[in-house]
Order: sequence, then C-alpha cells, then structure tokens
Amino acid sequence: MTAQLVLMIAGLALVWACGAANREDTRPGFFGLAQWLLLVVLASAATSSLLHGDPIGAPVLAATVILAFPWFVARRWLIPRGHWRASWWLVRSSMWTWHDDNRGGALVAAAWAAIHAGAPPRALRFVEARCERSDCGAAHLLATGLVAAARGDLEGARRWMTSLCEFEGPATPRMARRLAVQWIAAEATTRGAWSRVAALADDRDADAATILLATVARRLGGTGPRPSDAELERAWSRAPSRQRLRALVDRALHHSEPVDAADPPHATPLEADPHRCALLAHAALVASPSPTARGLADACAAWDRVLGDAGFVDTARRRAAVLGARVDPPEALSAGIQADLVTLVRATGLELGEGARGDGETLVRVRRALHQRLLDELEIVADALASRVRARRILAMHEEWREYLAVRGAFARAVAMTGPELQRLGYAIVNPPVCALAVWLWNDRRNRVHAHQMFRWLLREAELAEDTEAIALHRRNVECG
Amino acid sequence: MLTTMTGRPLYVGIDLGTTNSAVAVFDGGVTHIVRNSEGANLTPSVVRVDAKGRVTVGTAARRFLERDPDNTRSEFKRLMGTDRALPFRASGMAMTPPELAAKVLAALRADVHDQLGVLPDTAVISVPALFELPQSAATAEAAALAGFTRVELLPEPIASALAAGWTAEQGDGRWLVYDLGGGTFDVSLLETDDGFLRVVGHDGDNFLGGRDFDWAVVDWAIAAIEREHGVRIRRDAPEHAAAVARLKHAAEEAKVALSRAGEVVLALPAPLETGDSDPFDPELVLTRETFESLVLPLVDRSLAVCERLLREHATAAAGLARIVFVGGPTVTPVLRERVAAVLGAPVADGLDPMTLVAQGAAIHAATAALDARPAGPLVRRGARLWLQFPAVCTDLSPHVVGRVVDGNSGPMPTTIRLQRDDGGYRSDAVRLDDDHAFVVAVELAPRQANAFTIVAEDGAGVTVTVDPPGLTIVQGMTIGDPPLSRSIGVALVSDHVQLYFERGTPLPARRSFTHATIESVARGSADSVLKIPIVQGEHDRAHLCRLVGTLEIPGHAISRSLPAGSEIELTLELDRGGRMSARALVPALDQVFEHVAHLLVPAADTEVLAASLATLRQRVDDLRADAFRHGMPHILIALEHAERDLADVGRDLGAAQGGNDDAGQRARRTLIEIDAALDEVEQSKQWPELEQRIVRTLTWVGGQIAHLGTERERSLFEDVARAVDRARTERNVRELQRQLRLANQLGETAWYRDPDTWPTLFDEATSRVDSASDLPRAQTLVREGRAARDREDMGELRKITEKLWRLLPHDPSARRASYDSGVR
Amino acid sequence: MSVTDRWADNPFFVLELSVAASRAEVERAGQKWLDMLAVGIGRAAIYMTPLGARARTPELVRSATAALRDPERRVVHELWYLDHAPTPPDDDDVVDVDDGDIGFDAMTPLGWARP
Repeated sequence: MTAQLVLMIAGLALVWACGAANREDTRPGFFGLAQWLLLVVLASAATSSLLHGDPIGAPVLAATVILAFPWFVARRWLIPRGHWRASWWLVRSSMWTWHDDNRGGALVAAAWAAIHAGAPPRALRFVEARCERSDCGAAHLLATGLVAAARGDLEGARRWMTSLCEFEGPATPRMARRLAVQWIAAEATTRGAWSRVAALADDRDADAATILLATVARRLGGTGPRPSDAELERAWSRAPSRQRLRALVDRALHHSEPVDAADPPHATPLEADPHRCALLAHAALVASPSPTARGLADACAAWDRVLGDAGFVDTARRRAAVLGARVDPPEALSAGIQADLVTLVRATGLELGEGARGDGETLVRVRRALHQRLLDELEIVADALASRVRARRILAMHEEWREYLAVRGAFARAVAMTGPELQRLGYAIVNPPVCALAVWLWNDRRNRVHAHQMFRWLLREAELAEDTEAIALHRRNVECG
Repeated sequence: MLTTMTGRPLYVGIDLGTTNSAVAVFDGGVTHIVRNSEGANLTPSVVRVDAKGRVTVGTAARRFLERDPDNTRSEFKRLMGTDRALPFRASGMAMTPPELAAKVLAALRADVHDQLGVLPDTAVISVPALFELPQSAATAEAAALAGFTRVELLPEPIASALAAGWTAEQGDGRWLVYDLGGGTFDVSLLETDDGFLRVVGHDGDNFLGGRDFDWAVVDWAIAAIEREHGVRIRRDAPEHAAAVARLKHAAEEAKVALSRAGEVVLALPAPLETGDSDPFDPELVLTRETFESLVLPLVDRSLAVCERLLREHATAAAGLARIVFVGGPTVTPVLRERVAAVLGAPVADGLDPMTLVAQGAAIHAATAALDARPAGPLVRRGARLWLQFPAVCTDLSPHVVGRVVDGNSGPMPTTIRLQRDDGGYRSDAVRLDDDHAFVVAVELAPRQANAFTIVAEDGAGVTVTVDPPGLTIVQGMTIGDPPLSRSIGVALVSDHVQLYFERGTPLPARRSFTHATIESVARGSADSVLKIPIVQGEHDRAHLCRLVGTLEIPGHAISRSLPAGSEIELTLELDRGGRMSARALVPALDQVFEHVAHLLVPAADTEVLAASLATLRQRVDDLRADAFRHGMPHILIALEHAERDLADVGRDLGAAQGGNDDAGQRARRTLIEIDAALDEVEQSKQWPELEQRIVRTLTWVGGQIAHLGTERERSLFEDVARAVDRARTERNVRELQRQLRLANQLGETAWYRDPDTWPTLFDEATSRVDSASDLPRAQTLVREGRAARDREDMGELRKITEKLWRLLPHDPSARRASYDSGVR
Repeated sequence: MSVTDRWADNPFFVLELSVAASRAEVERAGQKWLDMLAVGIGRAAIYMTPLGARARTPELVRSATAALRDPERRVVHELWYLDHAPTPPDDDDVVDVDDGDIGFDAMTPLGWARP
C-alpha cells in the first residue's frame, strides 16, 4: 500500500516535471508526450484503485485532473483566492495554454493572484525578480504589466500591455495576448476611453468579455455604428462574469442618442475688467479636473485682450515704477501665463488638436513653447538611449524593453499633445537610437523577437512621418524576420 | 573690562577674518568690542603649533609667522571647504582649515569669558557674501569644534550694514557697503525704506583683498632687488619662501605706515637669504606715490565690480546716500579717495571698519534670539507662557504671540494685556482663545529697548502671576532671516540648472521638485549609479556653477532595478546656518536616499589646472582665428579680456606649483569664469554662422528636391522652409537646428536617388577605412563595393556603403558637462 | 511648480494682505504668522485661496515675506492676485469626453482588481 502510494506520488511529481520541461524549444517534444502518457497511466491506476475500494485512488485521481488542466484550475480557484505561490507552481507545468512559455504563464498566474491577495510586496518582488532574469517574452510583459498595475502604476501597466499586443510570432502565447487585450479594454472602460475600447473589438484575440466592453463603448461613446439593444444583450449573454457586468450593460441600454453638442460649455465670467476676466478664466482652467483645448484657447484669448489693453499696460508699468521694480510687468505676466499653460498641458496630457487652433499671440506662444519643450525632452531620452547603446552597456532584456517603451511613450505623448506637426521632427530624433538598439539586439545579442517588434514600430512611424529613407530601411529590417 | 552682566541678554557676534578676527557683544541696547588678553580689538587669525604640540593663537602666533613659517599658519580662511590639511612640521601634526579656524574661535570665546564671565554657547559668525555651501559648512564645523552649540552664519556685508544702520540716523535711500578684507572683496547695495533694510544685490571678487596690496609691494620689492642687487627672488620657488615671507611682512608694515607718512623704508625682520647669494639686507624706500601706483589697479578692479553692481540694479553712483567702508585695507587713504572720487557719493563717518562686521553680527544674534547666556535653573512663578516676539525689530507696531502652556501651577488667566514700562503704551486686554493663545499688538518707542510687563487676569478680574512676567523688544534696524548668499539648484542632464533657492532666499528654506531619471539603474550593479548633482552659482548652465554636493542612488542600495523615466521627488533643505541637506524619495521603490557626497571645494590640482589652461588658450586661439576670418571685431575685444585673465591664471598656476594653494584656488575659479566668458563669445558668433548654414542648406536641399524629389517631398520641403523662416525670425537656435536637420534629411533622400551619389559616398567611406572597428571586414566590404561599382550595381553599392558606415567611428559625443547628472 | 501654485502660494494670500499693503504691514504680518505657527495656534495653520484652503507653513510665510520685500517679485504677484474665488466648474458642465471617469469599475468584475 505504502509502496503504491509512493509510486503514485513519484508519478505525479514526474508529470509536473515533464510539464515544466515542456517548452517551445522542446516542442513537439518528448516531454509533452511523456507527460500525457504518465497522466493516462496514473489516472488508470487511480481509477482502478477506486474500483477496488482503495481510498488512495481518490486524491491521486484528483491530483491527476489538476495536473492535466493546470491553467484552468489556477484561474478558476487559485488566482481568485490570491494563492500566488501555488498558482505559479501549478502553471509551471502547463501543457496547452502556456506550453510556448509556461514560465511566463506561471508568472502571469502569480501576478494575477497577487492582485487578488492585495498586492503583498513579497509576491510582487517574487514576480519581478523572475521577470528581470528572463528573456522577456510576451507572457513576461503581461506579468510585468500586472505587477505595475498592482503597484498603482496604471500608465506603466498600459504601456506594457499595449506593447505586448504588438508582439507577433511563436514567442507570443495566445493567452497572453487575449488577457492583455481584455485588461486594456477593462481599464479603458473604467476611464471612459470609449474610442480605445471600441477599437479592440476588431482585435484577433478579443474574447467575449472584450467584445461586450467594445459593444458598450460603441453605444456609450458614439464610436462607430450604434449597437442595437439586441446586440448588447447578445454580447452580454456570451461574456464571463455576466451578473457583475450587468450594471454596465443596463447603463448602455438606457443611454440615449448623444445630443449633437458642438462645444463644451465654459465658465467665461462676465466681467467688465479684462484683467480680472482673464484671471478668472485662467483659474477656472487650471482648477478644472479635465481641462479642454477649447478652455485653453479661451483663456489665451482673454490674456490677449489684457496684454493688448494699453490702459492695463500703462497702469502696470506705473505701479512697477512706484515699487522700484525694473521688471516689465506685461512681459513678466506673459512669461508666467506661458509657463503655467505649458505645465498644465504637460501635466494633464491635454491634446491641443483642433480645439486649440488659432493665431492669438498667447496661444501661438504656448504652442511653440510646448513644441520646444517636448522636443527637448525627447532629445534627452533619445540621447540617453543612444549613448548607452554606443557604450554597449547591456541591461536585462526586461529593462531594455522598458527603455524602448519610455522613448516610444515620450514620442507618442509629444505627438498626441501637439499634433502631427511634431511627427517628422520627433521621428528624426527617436529613429537613430531605437534603430541602433534594435540592430544591436539583432546582431550581437541574438534577440530577434524584440528587435523585430522595434523595427515594426519604426516602420509604422516612418510611414506616418513620410520618411522615405527610413521606410525603405525598416521595411528591409522587418522583412528579415 | 566691560561691566558685568546684570540680567541683560548677551548676544555674541564674531567676524572670523582672513587676517584678523574680532568678537563683539550686544546687550539689546549697545554693542561692545571684546578685547583680547593683550588688550587689542583684533586677534590675528594665526595659529602656531610648536614642537611639543602646544597651540598658540593670535598675536603671539603672529610673531612667528616670518620666523617659523613651517609651524605657523595664517590665511587658512581662504582654504575653508577644501580637504587640504596644513602641516606643522616640528610637531608632525596637521590641521584642516576648520580645525585651525576652531582654534581662533575658541580663543575669541575664551576672551568673552575672561571679559564678561560668560562662556558663550551661541553666536553669529560672519562669512563673506560669496562663500559657497562647502565653505559655510566648514565654518559651521569650526564653530562646533570651538564649543559653540548653536551658530548662525551671516554674510559680512549684511553684518556691516546692520551695524552701520544701527548707529546712523534714519534716512531712506540706497547705500553701498565696500568691504575689502584681507583676502576677499564684497560690495553690497542696500536700501532702507521706512527703516526696513533690504539687500538689493551684491557682487564681489572672492580673490581680491588687502593681501593683494601686500603682494603688489612684494613684487615691486623683488623687482627693485633684482635691479639694484642683481638677485632674482621667485615667489614660486620653495627655496625663496623665507625671503618672500620677510618681504611680505615688511610690505604689510609699510602699507600701514604709509597711511601717515610720505615714504617709508621697508623694514625686513632679518637679512634675506636666497641660497644663491650671501644673506643681504636691501634698503628699499617706498614712497606713497609708488605705493599708490601699485595699488590703484587693484582699487580700480574693485571699482569695476562696484560699477557692475550699480549697473545691474540701475542705480546711479551719484545717487547713493552713502558708502560704508569695511575691512582693514579700507583705511588706506588712497583707496578711500579713489572710491569716493569715482563713485561720487559721501563716505559714512565715525564707523570702525575693522570691527563693524563683528558688531553687526552681534546685533543679528539678537534678531535670531541667540542669547549666549547659559540657561538658569527653572523657577516656576505662576502660569507658564510660551511667548513669540521679535527680540529686535524695525516695525514700530509688532505683535506678541503667546500661549499658556502650563496652567497647573496656579489660576489660569483668561485675559492678557501688555504695558510698556515707560508708561507710553498699554494694550487692550485680549481674551485667550480656545487654544489658550493670544495675539497682542504693541507699540514701540523708536531706537531703544522697550520693556513690557505682562498683565494677566482671570475671569473674575483678579491678577494672575505669569512666567515670564515681562519681555523686551528692541526697536532698530534688522534684516530678519539670514539670506542665502548664492543660488542653489540641481544640475540637469541638459546642463541646465533647476533652481531650488534663489540668491537672497531667507533661511531656513525647503523646496521640492520632481525629476525623472534618464537611465536605468540596475539593482546590485556596482557601476550603476544615479547622480543628482547639487550646484551653487548664478549661471543657468550647470558646468559653470560650483558643484557643492552629489546625492547618489547606487545600484547596490536599491530594492529593485529603477527604470529610466522614474520619478524622483527631491527635497533640498537649508537651515539658518546655511547647512544643506537633501532627500530623494523614489516612489517606484518606496525608498528614500539622503546621503550627499562630495561637499568640498574641489582640490586645485595643478596638473588639471595646467591642462584646463592649455585647453582654454587653444579655444581662445581658435575663436580669434575665426573672428579674423569672418570679420567680427566685437569678438576680438571680448577675447582680449579672456587673454588677460589667462595670463593671470598662468601666474597663479606658477605660484600654485610653488606650493601656494590659495593661488591654485584662485586660478581654478578664474578658469571657470573664462570658460563662461568664452561660452558667451561662442554663442554670440553662433548666429551669423547659423545664418550662413541656413542659406547653404536650403540652397542645396532645394536643388536636390527640385531635380530628384517627389511631389510630396517638395511640399514637405516647403513646410520645412517655412518653419526655418519662423525659427530664424524668433532667433530660436535649437528649433532652427532641428529644422535644418530635417531639411538635410529630405535633401539626402532625394540625393540618394541619383545614381552618381553612391560611388561618391563609397569613396568617402573608403578613405576612412583605416579607422574601422573591424578592419578585415571593412577591407572585404571595400573589395565587394569596388566590384559592385564596376558592374554599376548601385543598389548593392549602397548596401555595402551603409555596412561600411557602421564600422566607422562615430563623432565624439558632446561633452557631458553637467557633472554626469542622471536626472532631467 | 504646479500650475495651481501661482494662486495657492501667492504671498498676498499666505500673509492675508491686500495688494496695497505697505512694507511695514508685510513685515508685521510675516512676523505674526511665524509666531502664531510657532506656538501652534490652530487658525494660523490654514489660509484661503481662490482654489480652496491650503496649509500655511513657516517656509511658506518666510518665502512670502521675502517675495513681497523684493519689488521685482512683488509686482508680478500683484498681477496674479485674484481677490475672490472663481466659480468652480459645475459637474454638469463637464462634458463626457474621452478619458473621463464613468464611475463604473470594469476591472473588478473581470478579476483584474481586488474585489
């Protein structure tokens, strides 16, 4: 009896070990086959024991089932209960879901469980330490994104997840992409970023939950064709966690057709004194939780009226003379306005776009200063990357990817804030260092997966920047693999 | 001996000078200079250690300065903030500048004890206005070593202005404090408005002082000796050090004597020995005219600084209400006459330039409530009050704020009233609020100590005893909080400075900014360190400011790797003594770093200085050649100044090589100033060069696009040309450079379509193949390229040329001048 | 500097003075607030600005006094002085733009956040 028990436990351990050894490089693999054979043998032996009235068969059969479907078990029972270490251990032997990268999958399971456990620092450090040591496949990116989210860094998490979605090829387990797409959809829904959510409906890895969120987004955000009530109900009926998402669906069902409100209302105070009026408009803008480009343009126009008012300028200069100040008040005021508004745009990520078009002097100055500032910052980030690559200072792949995302993020932010006019100038700044990094990864460090993703991004941006030389170059690079 | 203390407060102010030091006390009414054991107002800042290790300070040590220079040290104030220890050969001891300064401070402290029977624990110590953080920190360290438990540092010009303002009749207007010490020159423009003193601005030369007068006389004497005796004495030769020291001593005495006599004979303490000749005793007669001709260039140098300050603050020299002279060298008649004549303003009379600073420091000690008397035993007499009020103030109607902190020892007061002891004022009764606190406005009689009695009553109107029962406020000129002498900020990776504290910021001060890292810091990596350099100075470019500390976040101290772009919340804090602390919070790591390294004045290594000098000379030569080539006369004028300064640096470097550390420090500082001046010259010539580049680039790109460009490229080029035009109108150099780069890129794209282009580029790359990183590979590529060219396969030739480029070295990257800053 | 600091840290608010305050009034107010903060009088700890209440600290009072002593800085602060609060934007005025919070947490139902 004891010998039988020992044999079965050894068999289970062997099943786990075969699963853990079953990776992309061992596929179609001996280990997978061995694992299944062992499972079948163990399951048969356990069933036979049970049929012979031997109670030992029950736990062994249960363990066999768990080891046969590790991801399912982890996702269903361990992750929601926050058992991060057990989740990690179990998913390490994943056969189907993560067989391309079961180490990464195990980290995803651990990170996800850690979120449910209230993000204990030990668990986060555990995942991070393993991610840093890895070659940073797609599943690792997902795990890193989840850790960032657990730490409250949602913007960082968004960056990791978005970069993962661009991954292609065998290093990208389907489950990693599917989960990342769902996470992005859920997070964007929470922010009310409807256009982002709606766009995810077309993603090849959008699951039922993502499709439901995208349908709701189309309804609430007015993005794309408006879904009917029936479509909404259908999407809801297929989604997981249906009951908990019902409130969102109800809100979408009761949402009426958006009124064609052209411009958001603005608290433009009715003040006779243009200086006070501009101060109020400025204060309202900076105090607003969601400043708009239109509000910015209005404040700038109010300041133009003040700075163009000869009476105000004269009074201010006389006051400066009385105090004995050498500063020119209109000039100092103008510099302060510009500094404030540039800081505001950068802090809030306000996209100027069409709402802040115009040729008022203050607005033009703000746009120019912003343009200059963003390019300066981009140059600093790009220069740091360039000098590191030149000096061949190697970072863990995980960190290399993070640096690449930082440059990319700075570029995307700059373009979003000021518009396409910055695309060409910005591209000329980021292309050389990112290209040098990708070439280094490809040639010397044999990391073709990440280098390929970088070339793809460079090609996409080159096309937007209409940089013919760069398009030709990166097309060749992308074609290499 | 001064009268013994009769319960009046005792405020101590110390002028820790380069040559002499003084201590003054203020009792809330008048200031007194404390005499030393020899009965003198001034104590020479000289320390001697004999063979047995006995330390002598002041006049007794001063006597050995010439006789025993190896064991006697003076002028160590100039080396404050450096890590240089000065040796005393006989005893084998070595002392750092703060340790030497501590000996002087301890002697002054003992003098106060001898004269007043109180060994002070607190004091205000004056420092030159241009002292930087390392120097201030060293001064504070010296005070601590001397036994002071609490000190505040006060810029010397403010101290002298306070003393001058305290004694002068009220009168609004701007005035100049001309402070020429032994080793430093400070000039401050101050303003009194309604009796309130304000520092409008200050300037100075950290390396101009009365000692330079002495050296001018020494140089004259050396020239005279060579002329008359044929003996050449060199200031930078160690074997001539004793002879030079004797000459200097004689020069100092002659300088003093010439303020009364028309001519003097330089009295050498002993015959001169040079090693090359027999000892000899030259008779050198120095006339007042000669002396004046020697020192006038130095006085003019100081006047140039004054004029620069006045110009900066749009103040006409003739409009100054008065000029206050501070410092021993200002008693020189020719100096006073020259300054008064050039500036055309009245000179304040009746002030002792030698002790004014110490008096001002003592007055400021009262403002800072630094009563030097040891605390007496606590005797409880009724309800205990915690009072806050200005001990000294300019305002005639200040507030007294208080709170009952211990009402257990008797009945609790409910109202408080203050009445002036001279009967001239009685406040309304103020009811205590819920916090048992009160705020009472009082009125002061001008320019005197105002004693008040606190009248407290309970709810029934019965008088309640309170502790303390009264308070005293002195009305007079104050400066409030001590101001920061030089701006402090953080060097950013762009070589700009993020300003934290502007010059003049009242201390204490604290400020925080959020920065972002620009490179990753790998956990556990020994060579991965994020540096946050803290700099001090008035330039907006970091490399021109003084590095005063570096906060480091090393790879081994972080809990996990810190990615590029991480936020760092940096807080800098300065206490009232000007001591700085820094704290960096890294939210991503949830860790705090507080270790600031390198809080020293960088050592003036003579080899480094020589290399810097050579580099700057080369830069001047290049700029001059360029200016001639392009016909830019204004640049030539600016370069003349730089060349003059470089010659000074050469001389100082010679002296530094001969062992004169002070000259080395001066050379280092001058080099920084020349660097800044050359930067300005380069910027001024940058624009004409850019204009030429615009024309060249747009012409070339326009030509390429017209011949080989696509329709879309033509339209893009038009956009770029418009942007170039706009940047040119706004004189925005960076934007212009970016747009020109873009234009070039467009031009090259078109140019590469020309079949003749690639052979040219290939030839150009081939000519540099010797410098390729992988020579065999490069040579193979050259062979393949030649074959491709022969068969006119331009596509292949292009690929080969591009591969070849990757093997060729990059241009040297731009100088990282921002002290390796890792933040933006 | 955050964009709101221009008002929040305006020395006239910190010292509770009008722009017409004399130099003596500036010094007096600075000294009074510092002393009140030192003895811990509750009402000294907070001051009002157009953007709401803010904490008054000794550093802020010192820096405000220094700013008003300096004519160059004082004149600029006078230009930015706004004597009463602007109407805060009404909730109804805030348009439901992209990136606006909808008040529905979609992360928790899908298991991406702790319930």
